[in-house]
Amino acid sequence: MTPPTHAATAPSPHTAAAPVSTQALTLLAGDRVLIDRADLRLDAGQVLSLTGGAGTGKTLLLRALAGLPLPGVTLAGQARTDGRRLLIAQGGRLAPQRPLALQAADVIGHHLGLDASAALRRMADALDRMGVPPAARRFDLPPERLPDSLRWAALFALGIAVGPAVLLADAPAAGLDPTVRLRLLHRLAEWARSSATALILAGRPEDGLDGPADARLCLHEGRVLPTPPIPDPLPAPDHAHHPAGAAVMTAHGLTMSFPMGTGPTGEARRLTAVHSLDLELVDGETLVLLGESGSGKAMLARALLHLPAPSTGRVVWMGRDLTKADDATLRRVRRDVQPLFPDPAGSLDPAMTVGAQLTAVLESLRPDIPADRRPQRVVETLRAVGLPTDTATRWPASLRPLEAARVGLARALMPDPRALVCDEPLATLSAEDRAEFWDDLLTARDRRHLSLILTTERAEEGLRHADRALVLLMGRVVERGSADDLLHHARHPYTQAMLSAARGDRPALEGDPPSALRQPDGCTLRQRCPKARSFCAQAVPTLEPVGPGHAVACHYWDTP
Amino acid sequence: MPRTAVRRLIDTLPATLLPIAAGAALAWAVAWAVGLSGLDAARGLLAATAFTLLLVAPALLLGAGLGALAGAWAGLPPHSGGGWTGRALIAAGPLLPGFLLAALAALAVRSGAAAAPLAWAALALPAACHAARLARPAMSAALTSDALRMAEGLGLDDRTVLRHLALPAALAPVTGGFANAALSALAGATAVESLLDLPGLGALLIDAARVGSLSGSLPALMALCGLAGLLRALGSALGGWLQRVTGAGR
Amino acid sequence: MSAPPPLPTTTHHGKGAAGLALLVALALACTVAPLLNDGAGPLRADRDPVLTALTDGRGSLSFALLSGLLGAGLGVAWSGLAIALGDRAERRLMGAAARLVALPLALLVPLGVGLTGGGLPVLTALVALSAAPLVAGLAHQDLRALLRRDFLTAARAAGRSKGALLLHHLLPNAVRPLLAAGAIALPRALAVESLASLLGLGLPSSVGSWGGAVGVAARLGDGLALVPAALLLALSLWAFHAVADEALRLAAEGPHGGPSNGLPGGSAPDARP
Ligand code: SF4
Repeated sequence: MTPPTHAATAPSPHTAAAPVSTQALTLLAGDRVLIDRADLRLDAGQVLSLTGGAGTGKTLLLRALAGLPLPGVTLAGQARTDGRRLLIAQGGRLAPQRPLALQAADVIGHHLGLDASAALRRMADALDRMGVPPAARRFDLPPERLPDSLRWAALFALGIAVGPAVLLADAPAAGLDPTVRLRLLHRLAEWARSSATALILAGRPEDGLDGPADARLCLHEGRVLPTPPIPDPLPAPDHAHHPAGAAVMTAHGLTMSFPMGTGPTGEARRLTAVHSLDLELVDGETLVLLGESGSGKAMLARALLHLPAPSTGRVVWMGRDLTKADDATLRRVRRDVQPLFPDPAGSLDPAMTVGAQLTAVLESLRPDIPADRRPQRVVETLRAVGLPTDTATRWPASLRPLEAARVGLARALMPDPRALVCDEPLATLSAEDRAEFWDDLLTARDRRHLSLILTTERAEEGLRHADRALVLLMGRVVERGSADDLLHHARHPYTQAMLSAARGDRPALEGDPPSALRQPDGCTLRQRCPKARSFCAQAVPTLEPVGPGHAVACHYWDTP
Repeated sequence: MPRTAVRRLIDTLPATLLPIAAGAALAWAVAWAVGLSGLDAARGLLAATAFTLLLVAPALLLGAGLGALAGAWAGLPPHSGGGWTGRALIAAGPLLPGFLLAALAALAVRSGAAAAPLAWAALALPAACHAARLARPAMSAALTSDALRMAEGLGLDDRTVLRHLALPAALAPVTGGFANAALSALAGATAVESLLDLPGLGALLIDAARVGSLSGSLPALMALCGLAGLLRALGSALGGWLQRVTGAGR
Repeated sequence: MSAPPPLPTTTHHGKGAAGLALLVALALACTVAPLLNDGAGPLRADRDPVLTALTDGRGSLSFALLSGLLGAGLGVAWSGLAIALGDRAERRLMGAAARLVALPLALLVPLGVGLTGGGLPVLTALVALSAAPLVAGLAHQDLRALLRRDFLTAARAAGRSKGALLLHHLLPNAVRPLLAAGAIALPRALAVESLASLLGLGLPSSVGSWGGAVGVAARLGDGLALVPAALLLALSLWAFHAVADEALRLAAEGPHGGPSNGLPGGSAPDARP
C-alpha cells in the first residue's frame, strides 16, 4: 500500500497540466454550505479517494466536476477539468430494459464516433482489462438481468473503453461483497495509472475506497481534508477476557435447505444454504461467523435460534435439545438466547411503542418479574444502552438508525440473557454510528458476561472484537480458529482474500462467486482460487487441524 | 411483427381462440338441438365476435397509445400543452367510465350524429385516461432515477435518454395494465352495442340475458372471455414489440 | 448526498378528504331530495330532473356501499383463508383469484340477473363476487409481505404465543393494507351496478338508480334526464376512487409515520433527544 500523500491538496506551480483542479470551490444549498472552499488538484494517472458520510456532498462535488447541472445548488469558485470526463453515477444503474451491448455502443459511439462493431470491440478489450471472462459476457441481456458484480464490471469497462481524461466514480461497486468490490476497484485504479487517467473514487468511509487510491481525502463538515492515515498495523485484538468455560451452545450436523420446485425430470429440488455444520459456543466467548453474501451465515444464525428450526441436525443450549423442546422449554431457552437483527428498525413492530415492545418481552419471557416492576426495568435497560428514558414512549418510525439499533439491543437484554446471536447487527449503520454501537455491544457483553455469536462480512472488524471465528463459504466452514490465528496466520485462500479486502488490498481471488443454484463440484472456491488444481474439482475439502484450535478446509493450504 | 411476438400469441391460444371456438361450437350445438341451422348460429357468433373485436381493438390501442404518450408528457418537468392534456386525462379518468360515455354517445346518435366515430371515442377515452394515469408516475420516476443520472454522467444526449430510458419506463406500466383496460373496454363495448343496437357480442349476451336464455348467453359469454384473452395477448405482444423498438432498437 | 433534490413525497391528503366530503354531501342531498319533491313519492314524469336524479342516488349509493363492503369482506376473507391454509391450497385459491380477475366479471352481473330474474340479494351477491377476486389478490400480496417482515420473527424470539402474535402484532399492522385493498371494492361496486342497471338488468326500477336512469334516458334520447344522473354518477365514482386512492396512500405510509415496508426513512419527525 502506498503511504497516503497529500499531493492532491498541495497547490502546484504547473497547474495547467492537471486534468482536475478546483479553486475555492463552494457549493451552497440555500444558505447551507455543503462544500466550503475546496482546493483539489489531481494529476493524470493519479487515483484519489474522496470519502464522507451520507449527505456530505460527495455526489454534488462530483457532478460539479463533471459539469452537470446542480438543481437547487449555487456554485462559487472554480472547478476546471481538462479533456473528456465521465461520471459513473451512484447505484450503477443503466436503462433497465435495453441490452447492455447496445447501451455500450451508444456511449462509446457518442464519445469516440465509432460504429457499433468497433465500439463493441473496444468494449471487449476493456472487459479483458476488468478480468471478465468471455463466458460470463451475457451482454445481449438487459442490465437488470445481470448479476450486480457483472453490471459494475461492465460499467467500469465502459469507462475504460471510452478512455476519458477524467473518470469520476460515485459510490463505485457499493453493495458488492468486499472481495469482489476490491478486486474491481484495484483493476480500475491500475488501468487509470497506466493510461494516465485521473480517477476519483467517492464513497462512504467504510467502502474501502482508500485501498486502491494514491491520495486520500475526506469530506468533513463541508471541508475537504486529508484522510487521517490508517493505523497500520492495526492494534492487536482486544482479548481482555479469556473465556475458558464449558460449551453453552452446540450445534451438530446443522443443515438448512429449501424446496426449489421440481427439476426438469420431475424430481424435487432443494437449495442447501448450510451444509451439515458443527459449532460450539463456549461460555463468555465471542464467536464471529465471517462470510459474504450466500455464505449461509444469516441462515445459520437463525437456525441456532430455531427461527426457523434447521432442516436437519440439532441445537443444544445448556443441555436442552431445541429440536425436542416443548413450548415451555423453548421459551426458557429464548430467555437465555436472544437475537439482534440486521435491520433493527425493521425488527420493531411499527404499531407498538418502544416501551410496549420491551414490556412484552418481559411479560412472556420473565413471568417471575411482577408487572409493577416492569416499567422500572424498561427504563434501566434503555439507560444501559445509552438511550434516554423517554424513548419508551416513542414509535419505532421516529427512531434514527443508531437509536433503533440500541432499542434492538435493549430488547435483547430485557430478559437478562446469557448469549446473544447477532446477525450483521451493524449493517444499517454509518461509520460513526458503527463505532458507537460496537461500544454499546461490547460494554453489554463485558458487564453481563454474555456469550456472543456475531455474523459479519467485515473480516478485520469482526476478528478484532472476537475470540474465535468460523469462516463460511457457501454454507460450509472453510477455516476455524482463534481470532489471533486468523488475523495473522490465515491459511485458507478465501480467508486471506477477505482479510486483504478488509485492509484495502487487492484480494487474490478472480471472477465472481458461483450462483447458489449451480455450485461447482469439489471445492466451491475453485473457480476463483489462485491455488486451485485439478484435484480441487474432485473432492470437497474437509476441515483438517493445522494447529491448536485451528483447522482449514483446503487441499493445498500448506503449498505456498 | 417479429417472430417472438407471434410465438407468444401462439402460447396464449388456450385462453384466446379456444374459448371463442368453444363458444361457436356450443352455439352450433344449441341451434342444432332445437332444430335450427347450427352453421348459421356459429357463424352469427363469430361475426359478432369479429364485430366487437373491430369495435374494441382499434379504440383500445389508439386510446392507450395516445394516453400513454400524453401521460409521459405530463411527467416531463416543464409544463407544456401536451403535458396538460395528460394531466386532464388523469384527472378525468375516474369520471369517465366507458358505459357513461356510451350513454352520451347514444344520446348524440339519437339526435343525428354518426355512430361509428362516437362509439370508438367512447371506448378510446377511458383507455387513454387509464394509460395516462399509469404512464405519468413512471415517467417522473424514470426522470429522477439513478439510471438517468448515469446516462447524464456518461454524457448521453437528451434525445437518446428520452428514447431509450424514459419512454420505455413510462410505457412499461401501460402494457402491464393493458389487460385491465381491455376488460373495462369490453364492458364499455357491451353498453355501446346494447344502447346503439349494434350487432356485437355484448348485445348478443345482454339480449339473451334479457329473455333469460342460458343457452343463448353462454356461447356469447365464452366468446367474450376468449376476446378478453385475445386483447390481453395482443397487448402484451405489442408491449414487447414496443419495448424492443424503444428500448433495444437503434 | 443525492444531487438533484428528491421528489417530495406528497403527504397532503387533500384529494382523499375532498372525495370523502363529496360522498357525504351526495349522500345527504340524496336523502333530503325526496322531501323536496312535493311529497309526491316516486312519480317520475314532469318532475325536476335534478331532484329525480338525487332521489335515484339513494339506491345507487346505498347499494354500492352494501355490495362494496360485502365484496371487500369476501376478498379479505378469501386471502385470509388462503394464507391460513397455506402452501398448496394457498396457491390454488390465489391462482383462482388471478384467473377470475382476468375475466370480464362485470358482465356476469347483468347476465346473472337476467338468468335468475333478478332480486336484490342476487344482485348484491353478484356485484360482491365481481369485486372480491381483485380485493383478494391485493390483500394476499399485502399479508404475505407483512408476514415476511422481521418484527414478527423478533416477536417470536421474544417468546410471544401464536395468539399474541396474531392479535398484537399481525392484526394492528394488517388493518391499513386490508382497508386499502377493500376500498377498491367500493368504486367497483358502484360502476358494476351502474353498468348492469344501465343495461336494464340491475337494480329493480322501484329502487331507482343512476345507471338505470341514464340507460332509460339514453334510449329515449332525453338529454335533460340523462345529464344530472350521469353527472352525479361520475362525481360519486370520482369520490369513491379518491377515497380508495387515499386508503392506498395511507397504507403505504404505515402506522405512526413509519413506512409500511419496514425500510427506514419514512415521513417521521426527527425527534432527537
Ligand atoms: S481446495 Fe483447492 S480450490 Fe479450494 S481453496 Fe484449496 S486450493 Fe483453492
